[in-house]
Amino acid sequence: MSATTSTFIRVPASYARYDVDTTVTAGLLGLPDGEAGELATTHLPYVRDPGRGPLFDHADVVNLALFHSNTGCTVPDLALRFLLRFATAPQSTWYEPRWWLVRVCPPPALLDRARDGSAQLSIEPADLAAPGVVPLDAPDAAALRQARPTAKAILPPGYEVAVRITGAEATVHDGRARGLYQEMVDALAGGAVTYQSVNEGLRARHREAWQLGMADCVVASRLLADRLRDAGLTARARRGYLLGLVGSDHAWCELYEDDHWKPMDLAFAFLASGGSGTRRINATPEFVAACCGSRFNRLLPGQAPDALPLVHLDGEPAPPWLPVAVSAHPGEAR
Amino acid sequence: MTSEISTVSATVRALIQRNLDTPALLDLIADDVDLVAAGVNSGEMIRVALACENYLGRQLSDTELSRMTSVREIATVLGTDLGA
Repeated sequence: MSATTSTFIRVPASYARYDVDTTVTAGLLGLPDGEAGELATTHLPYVRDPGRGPLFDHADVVNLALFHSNTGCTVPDLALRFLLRFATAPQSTWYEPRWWLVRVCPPPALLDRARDGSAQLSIEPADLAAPGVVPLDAPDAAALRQARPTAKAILPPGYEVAVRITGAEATVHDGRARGLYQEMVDALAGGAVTYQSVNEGLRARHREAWQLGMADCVVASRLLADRLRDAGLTARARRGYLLGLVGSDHAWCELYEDDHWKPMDLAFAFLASGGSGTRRINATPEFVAACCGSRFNRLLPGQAPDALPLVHLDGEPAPPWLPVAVSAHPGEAR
Repeated sequence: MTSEISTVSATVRALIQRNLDTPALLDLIADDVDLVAAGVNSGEMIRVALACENYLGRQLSDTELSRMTSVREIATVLGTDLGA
């Protein structure tokens, strides 16, 4: 790994949550524990716990993986690459009706605590009334489930939904909205703001995160929604799952125009047009254009407003190193 | 792994197993069962997908990536001529 450390912004201590140990760090960096610990303590702020050793902020570790491997083969790198592979598929496949069986499974470590009453775990349900999202009829849902069995029941607050998601090709016409959107894409592409992992504490202070020079999909979507509303437009930030190899937490902004909500996805646009190095995805100009108004058939929004976290533990955002597992099974739409 | 729960290639299972934090977990998962719901985490699925690309020597398509939800589906993506 490169020894360079200037390519991302560390989480300021006042917002950091130092609770990721070297084992989790090693998994994210794709290195043995000892090597990962040495690399992380060299390049990241940390606190030392007498029992667990050095503890890091999860976002810092993810960024170390993203910015310093130069291999494109760390888990965060690969997740981006695989989940956005659809951008290279024919354009019609972005919008055509697609069936999805989605299972959201809490990790056993959290589920056990929830079930013995030592912690309260909550997961935002899917927004089945979202534009383009339609629950499957019972026979179709049953057929989809039968073809993709589970070894054990999915326990609440985990859930399973079978939906048809239909995309829509559209563009944002409002000049103010397009200007604000492009301004933020340019800030990311030009490096004034670094697209990187941001922890939940700073996501909640998205304006401050942007001023610090860092943004992820949540920060960008919340800030764009703010700016659109400040300009007198109707906008909202959404958060849900990007479906593909797995379901991945993702956020985007939506503008209400022409009597419907049009997604404006700064993260996709940046990664497709301005992402650098191993994080750049191969995408056509048509895909970049589609990020400003079109709705893709693989985004399942949650019900939480303002792109708030999808999973809470005792009223706080759940630890990111214990993510819910989200399986996404495509089916043949009829 | 018991022979009752798997009819797909041992090569495919070995490829998946090498990319799990707890390889023994796969011994408990039948061919058609949802891997993620059975406890395979997203990081492991991502490593499995990379291993499949390396095995095939090419990028997987979006369609192939999306269908990789069970041992059998992964075997299908990798082809059926792998032998047991």
